[in-house]
Amino acid sequence: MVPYSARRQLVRRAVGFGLWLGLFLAAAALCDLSPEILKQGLGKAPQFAREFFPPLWAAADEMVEPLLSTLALASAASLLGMLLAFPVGLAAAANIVPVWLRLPVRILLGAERALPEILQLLFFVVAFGLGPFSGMCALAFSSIGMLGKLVGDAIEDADDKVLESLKATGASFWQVIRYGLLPQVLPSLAANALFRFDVNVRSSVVLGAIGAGGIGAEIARSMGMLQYNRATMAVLGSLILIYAAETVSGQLRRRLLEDGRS
Amino acid sequence: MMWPSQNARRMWATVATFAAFLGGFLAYLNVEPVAVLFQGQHLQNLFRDVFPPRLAVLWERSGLWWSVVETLAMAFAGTTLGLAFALPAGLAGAANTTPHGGLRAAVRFQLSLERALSSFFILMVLLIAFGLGPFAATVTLALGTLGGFGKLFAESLERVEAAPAEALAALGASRSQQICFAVLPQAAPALITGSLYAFDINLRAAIALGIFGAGGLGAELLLAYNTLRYHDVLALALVSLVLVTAVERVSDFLRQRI
Repeated sequence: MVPYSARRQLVRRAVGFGLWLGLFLAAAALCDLSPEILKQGLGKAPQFAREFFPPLWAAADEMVEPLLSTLALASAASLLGMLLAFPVGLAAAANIVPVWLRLPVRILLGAERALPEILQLLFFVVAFGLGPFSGMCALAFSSIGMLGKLVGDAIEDADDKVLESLKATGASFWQVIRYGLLPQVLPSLAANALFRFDVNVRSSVVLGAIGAGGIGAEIARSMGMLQYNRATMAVLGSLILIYAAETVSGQLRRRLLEDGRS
Repeated sequence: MMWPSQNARRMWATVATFAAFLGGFLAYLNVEPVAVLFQGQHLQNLFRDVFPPRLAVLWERSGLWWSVVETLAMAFAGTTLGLAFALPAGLAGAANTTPHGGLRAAVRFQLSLERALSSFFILMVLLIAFGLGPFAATVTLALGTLGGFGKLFAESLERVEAAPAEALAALGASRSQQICFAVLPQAAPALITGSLYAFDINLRAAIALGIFGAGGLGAELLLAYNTLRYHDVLALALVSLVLVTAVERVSDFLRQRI
């Protein structure tokens, strides 16, 4: 005999699953998810393989400059984001600033994280035109959106006793922050910034396609000119960049965390 | 223990290195942020061009709400499809549930490829293959979900306690019985939480893909943008913001209940 509560749980799960399935079927109908389209698309696979492969190796040296530009864009945005995330995080911490400052800052950070980067890029392009500067602004903003919140949370979790004892010795507000707070939050900020660098490299490829230049622009242009094997070459370049950034960011993060433990 | 003076010197050295790197990158990109920000009228122009949002677009433009529904549908279908493939991929990619070590390595590599390929490139290829319409975008979202959550699922399966599976094995349970009754139940909360999170991510991605030609709300944004209706763009951005925030709240609520 199944216990009552277990049966109720089973029923609830079945209802949840049924709801999910029903919603999926409705969504699939809206999105024209039909086997015919799938079959028709998959039928083109051999032709695609011929057009996209082999990569246009001759274009390899044309990819170096865009790749470096994408890397520089992501790096500059990450550094800028990390530098600005600390003051923004201070303004988002309840134990540092009054509510009338913390609340709007938190709302702005939340709104920033909710909007896709591409959409933010569009606004920066309206202001600054196409080019790497707009891309850097979009990426720096989204870095601040994430890092600023994490710094704010870290400051709110920081050990109050350290701050209190510094205050008791007569330290000024900025000295308390410099010697009490900064050492507590800096390691986690650096680790998160390294993670954000990994994310920013991926995003800067995407933003490039809309107008920030670099390898993303190269991919989009090759696709637009129907030079599919050149696009494959550019994509290969972006894969190398992304894997390299992931490895470097992961290694540095691991070393940082090991340093913190010893 | 470091003396404050030494500490301060180290800090200034770090700050100087940072500034040098930042300056180097900006010089490479030919960007002068101070000049751009303060010499031109760019920011004033932005505010003049964009504010206030023309909220009238919300009821004047027929088909707008339909495009919102389409974006939600793309995100939901993409999430479900992606997760449906991510579960077996996670099982094959986790050391304690995989049928074979070689398969695990292959699956892991394939998942990392799906994460590293830019979604807009996948979308462009699929738009050529499947034609314009939400189909290509849905499959793009599903592939992205598979890459991200296949890895996440594999990791949560590997974090599971080994003892219950061993206990079942001692009772004579087969490998698949161990997985069904000892491994999966332990990982289930993580998998369900991850699934709700996947929808949040995909909704944002669906709006972004729309700007690359996938239809839905993103396409409305792109259209307004290309026809220089910037006040409409801001209004539509606010719609995206409300939509994403609302979905986040709902999934937070569901997560807490589960």
